[in-house]
Amino acid sequence: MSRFMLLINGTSHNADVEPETPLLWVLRDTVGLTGTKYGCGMGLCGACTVHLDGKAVRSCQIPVTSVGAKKITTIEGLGKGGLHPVQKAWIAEQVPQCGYCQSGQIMQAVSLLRDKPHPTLDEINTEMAGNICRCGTYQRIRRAIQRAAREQTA
Amino acid sequence: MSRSAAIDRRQFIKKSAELAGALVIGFYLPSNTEGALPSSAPKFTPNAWLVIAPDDPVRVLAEKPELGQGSHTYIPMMIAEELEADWRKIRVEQAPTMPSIYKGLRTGASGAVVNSFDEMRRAGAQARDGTVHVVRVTSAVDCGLAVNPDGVRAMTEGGINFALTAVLTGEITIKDSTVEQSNFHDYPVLRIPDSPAIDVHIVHSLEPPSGVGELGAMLVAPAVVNAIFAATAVRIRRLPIDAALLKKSGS
Repeated sequence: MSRFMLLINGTSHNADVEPETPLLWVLRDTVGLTGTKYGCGMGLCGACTVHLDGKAVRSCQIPVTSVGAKKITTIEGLGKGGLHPVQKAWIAEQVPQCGYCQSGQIMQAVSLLRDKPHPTLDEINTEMAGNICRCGTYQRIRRAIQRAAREQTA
Repeated sequence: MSRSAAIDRRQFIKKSAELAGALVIGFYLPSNTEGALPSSAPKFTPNAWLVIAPDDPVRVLAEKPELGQGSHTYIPMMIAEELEADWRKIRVEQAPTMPSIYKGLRTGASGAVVNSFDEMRRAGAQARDGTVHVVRVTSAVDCGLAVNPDGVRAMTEGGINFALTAVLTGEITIKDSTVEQSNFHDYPVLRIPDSPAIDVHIVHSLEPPSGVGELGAMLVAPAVVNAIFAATAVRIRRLPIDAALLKKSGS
């Protein structure tokens, strides 16, 4: 067991865990932030997506020992007290059904729009390909990202 | 919606024997009351009759009058396909007004989800390498009163995406009494790049709401394989689609 100091959503947290513990489990079990979900444990489904220094990563594949001083953002920290524009777009397009994949989808979408503020449909499809949705909300995810892109530059 | 009379097979065969020695086959076209069938298995309830007389042509007695909704078209199409009969030899006649036999004598043949055949023909079966990309799915839903139309759309879209996994990639295999698949690397599910454009058209209805939770998934497989047939003349009889079958077609 080692002690790790993690900067999560602007706040410092201490975690006494094994160094190889995936960040996903530290977030969920140690820190208690359960908005980030476990889907496959193999980096294949995208449900565990968080940001490290603003970039989307699969937290089930990140050993906590490798995080260091990087800023972690989870779905809980996205809105800064309100709703992030992507979350607003998600509501406007009524994207979620069961909701399980949606934290990961939103985190990935935010990261995508930071890299590409005006993504083409092909770019949306490519960048979001790692996030599975079994309920089949893909058409609405596309529209929400396009809406957020329009409204962020409006 | 329609419910045909529950006549048993013995009665039906008796009836058909009266029709001058012709072979009469009754068959049941699913209507959107499937979900509302009682828990006890219904008796044989034909709502269309097929008469194959020795002198040809194949006569279909369809109880649903044609009002432009296509009932007198899709019935013979399905017959021609199943019988591998010459399409030109199929004749559809309006069933006689005999309510004792034909209990569903009205135009309401709305069915469940009707995927547009023309659109699916343009679904883009990549016959060269056999890979199928479904580019667009068009769906018409008659679910009675759509209490929340956007909810109906969401459920239909979701069901279509869900079923496409089964059609395109989802396969479970058993070896030594164990399922071989374990995660998304060996059980691929539909991802956003392969998810088609989807149009949902809700048929205006004041019938009681009938629910759409499972509807979207129902006709995706037939629609996709029928589109593949239209594009390649290859019949797919097993899911998920085997690209090798389409590659062989050489079209």
